[in-house]
Amino acid sequence: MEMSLPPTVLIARNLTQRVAIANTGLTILSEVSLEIKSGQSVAVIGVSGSGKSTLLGLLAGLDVPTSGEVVLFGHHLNQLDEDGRAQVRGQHVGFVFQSFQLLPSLTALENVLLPLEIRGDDDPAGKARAYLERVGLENRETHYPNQLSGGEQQRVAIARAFVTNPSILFADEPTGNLDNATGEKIIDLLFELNREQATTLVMVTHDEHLASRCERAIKLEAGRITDDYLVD
Amino acid sequence: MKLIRLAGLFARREARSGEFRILAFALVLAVATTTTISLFSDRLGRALLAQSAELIGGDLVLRSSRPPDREWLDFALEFGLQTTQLAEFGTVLMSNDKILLASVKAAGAGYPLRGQPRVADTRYGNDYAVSKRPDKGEVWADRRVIDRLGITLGETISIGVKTFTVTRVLTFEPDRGSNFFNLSPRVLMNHDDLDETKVVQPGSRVRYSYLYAGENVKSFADWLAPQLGPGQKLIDIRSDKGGTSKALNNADRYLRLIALMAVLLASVAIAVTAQGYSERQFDVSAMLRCLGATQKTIMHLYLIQMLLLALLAGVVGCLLGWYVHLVLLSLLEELIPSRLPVAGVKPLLTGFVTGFIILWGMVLPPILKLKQVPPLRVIRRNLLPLTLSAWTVYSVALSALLLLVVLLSREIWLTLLIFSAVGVLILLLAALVYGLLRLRVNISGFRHSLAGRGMATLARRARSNSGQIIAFAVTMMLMLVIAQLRTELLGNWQNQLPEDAPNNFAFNILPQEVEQFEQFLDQRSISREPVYPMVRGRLMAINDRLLKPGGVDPVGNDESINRELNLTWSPTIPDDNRIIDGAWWESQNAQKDVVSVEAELAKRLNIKLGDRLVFNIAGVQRQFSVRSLRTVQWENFSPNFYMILPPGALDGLPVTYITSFRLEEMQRSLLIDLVSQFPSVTVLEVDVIIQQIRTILRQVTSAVELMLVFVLLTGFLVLMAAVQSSLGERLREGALMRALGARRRFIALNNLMEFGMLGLLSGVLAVLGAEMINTYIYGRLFRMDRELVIWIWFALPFAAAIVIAGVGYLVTRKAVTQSPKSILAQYSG
Repeated sequence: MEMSLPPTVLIARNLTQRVAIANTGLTILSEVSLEIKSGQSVAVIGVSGSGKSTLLGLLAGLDVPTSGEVVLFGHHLNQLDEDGRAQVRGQHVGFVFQSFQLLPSLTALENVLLPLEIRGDDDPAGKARAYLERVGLENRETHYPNQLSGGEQQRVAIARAFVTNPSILFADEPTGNLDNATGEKIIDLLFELNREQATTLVMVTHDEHLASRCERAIKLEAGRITDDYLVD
Repeated sequence: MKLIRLAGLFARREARSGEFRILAFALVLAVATTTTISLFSDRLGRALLAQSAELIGGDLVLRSSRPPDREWLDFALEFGLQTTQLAEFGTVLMSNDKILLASVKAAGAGYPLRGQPRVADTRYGNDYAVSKRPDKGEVWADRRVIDRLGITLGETISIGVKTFTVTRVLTFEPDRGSNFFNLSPRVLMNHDDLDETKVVQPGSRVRYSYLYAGENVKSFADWLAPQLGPGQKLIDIRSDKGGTSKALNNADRYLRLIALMAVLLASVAIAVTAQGYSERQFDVSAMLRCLGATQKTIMHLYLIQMLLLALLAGVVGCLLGWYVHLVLLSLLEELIPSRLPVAGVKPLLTGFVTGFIILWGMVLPPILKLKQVPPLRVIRRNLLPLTLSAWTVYSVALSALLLLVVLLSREIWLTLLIFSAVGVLILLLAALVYGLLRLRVNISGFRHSLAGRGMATLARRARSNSGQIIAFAVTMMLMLVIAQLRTELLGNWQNQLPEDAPNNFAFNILPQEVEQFEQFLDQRSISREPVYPMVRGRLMAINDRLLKPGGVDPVGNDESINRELNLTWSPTIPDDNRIIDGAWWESQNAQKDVVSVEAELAKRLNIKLGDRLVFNIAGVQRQFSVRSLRTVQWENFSPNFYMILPPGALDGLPVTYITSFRLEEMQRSLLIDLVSQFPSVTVLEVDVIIQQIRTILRQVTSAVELMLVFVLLTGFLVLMAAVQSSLGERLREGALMRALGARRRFIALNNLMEFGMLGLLSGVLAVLGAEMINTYIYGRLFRMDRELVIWIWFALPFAAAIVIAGVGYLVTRKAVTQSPKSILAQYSG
């Protein structure tokens, strides 16, 4: 019996990122290449400063590399301008951040509504409510971020990330600002939704335990991939 | 459309944030200020103009030495103007075999246009206003005519070959203007009787006037001006040289200056707030980019929000401005003419547009930055958008300010000059502040003192603090300029017309009567001016240039050579005259053939120091060389002279004496004694005119003071905005320090000292700047002397330190009262 292989959704070729700091060049990423298949969950692990957040920024099209290229859902990100990349992000990409990145002047519901409104979806409120309910915050719709606990804020962020049914989700240390128990619950929620929507997941973490819940792990050291393996 | 809806949603949500509210509030205040001041100054200005119009009898007056083209009267009707005509001439009145040289005015149909003459029904009866001219065959005569001819009402006098019945005592003519100095007894008659008198013949000296009133006088004046011939000129309310029009001109300039400054201050407040608002929107913008919004979407989102804000602020501000201007008017009810002209649309429009202009200049540049926020900022918080070039930012802000100046100022170039001076000053201040803050004060005692700690904290945030210091300094500087100007202006006006200003002129005092006359007044403790000799003389030539009345020489049109001038002599210069060129004669024995000339006349006739002036005095020609030019306070109701000569210069020529004195209400009856004891002396009562001028001055003063409230308010707003803009940073720091174990007292004191030093520094800079601007304004704009107010140099910086420390402490006291955790949760990101 032969299974058709899932398509490759993300390709990175020879990514190198250099920055100029105090007149000397600092290489943050060096010749990183990788491919990620649709539906795969991938952890990018490494110690602080190993370049994992930089890699995430490049893969998601938030930044452009010094050299090398990123192809996301067939879009050559380097060849697009910033607005072109923004449209790709709006169409395909969801984000969850370590510091939640909720807009402080918006309520929980409005934060979830935001990506739908930007995209111009029909009945954004209905969808947003459904997702808030899905993450267990149906009673917190009108609360502002500073009235929510860290865990609750991250749940709002997760609802915001999934509400557009993204094809790929980038998570940057999603539990970094949370205590262990809360973090565990957040991760459970993240993987649940990921499975339900068959989203591709790219998660940056320094937590080996968290990485072990993904199907595949890529290890970065000083800007180079030193290991790339399937978990168990 | 979708974007507008989204922007509306955003705006509604943003409206809950403090920054957006301050922005909206500042904008509303700016619009309201402009609207109020525009409305108020528009209406009050028009009312005051109307009152001034009374002084010349119309909104526009054509003066002519020969009968003007009749068409100029008729054609004015096409402009929707009301018109009337006057003919004024000197002639001999006859009654009961007595004769009297008098000045007669013949009033045409429609008289009076502006203001009302006042008349009385008996010699000493109370007077009242009437809105008509004498009927045909009747005249109204002033008390001097009645006294000198010894007639009573109902008796007749002859003018030329016609006999008239004197029906009323004329106590006041609205249209005498600055000419109230005209010394002859006066009679008012009906213009329709003029021909029958046969007084006016070809070659007679008659002053013809066409008076116009109505909305369109300006366009009519534009039409008429090019057609004027020699000996003809147009006078409007502003070109009248009387005291009120000068006061009004200064008031108008001043009110507009205040409006501009208030708007400028509001702009500073908005710029400061917008800067903070924009910085706080960096995260929002980055997040929106992350979520797929394009740069264009983001720009549209913010621009539409700003437009909505401007619209809202425009409407609310205009309403508020309208309401406040009504409140102001009702506060001034007693002083303001009861029937104010209806407000025009222009002031409202001015206010409305102001909001948009300020937004464009102050808010657009920082908002444009949002487009550049890199999306990667969601991961790396320290990433900042590329800053716009300073050139772009400043040119946009400057263009907005220019627009405002054009919108609000009537003297654009002058205002621009002041503004560029302020601009240069700001740059200098910026450099100075930055330098000061970078300077490490390394005296160990100072460093650890409280003030030293304040300085150190200031220096740590050198960039944001120099912005705040400049904002405060500019605010205080402008307020100081305005406050000082106000004191000076009002003082100046009041000095010109003190409570005990003379209200009677006495002239034709014979040389042999002078001593008795002085005694008469002094014995009754009537305060008086010095008694001046007066010789009437006509100016015939300047050097070899012959002056021909009504000639083609532009100088020939000047009124001063169409009539005899009053010459006097004096060993000393009159109290309020001031030499601006040349020198006064030192001693009694100096040259006798020199003259001191009034500066404005000299300018009009192009008279220079050393010029030779030829006078015809009672048929004798005399020459004098110009020794000095001097300024004269025409409005002070003392005898004033165009020409002053040294004692002895006019010996042998016919001379009478003149003085002015003040009679209190209850001393009125002394006039009868005076007139009977000195029958040749003519007394001219100017009480009514003084009252009129005083009312205008009082109104102007109140208006000016009320306008100042706005400047104060906007100034305070700048203060709040600036403190608010650094609030987050300060609170976070305070919370962090407390989390690290700092005691509340320490933090509170730190904040207090930092704000205190900030206030002190900006106060010093404000005083420096204000001095520079004042020097300029006084010298060039108002042409006034000024006294240095030294105490302000010290008082202001300390007052600023205390006020700013107080406000800063109040606003940041959260830093010590709220728990560090809740502050950090709210202000860290």
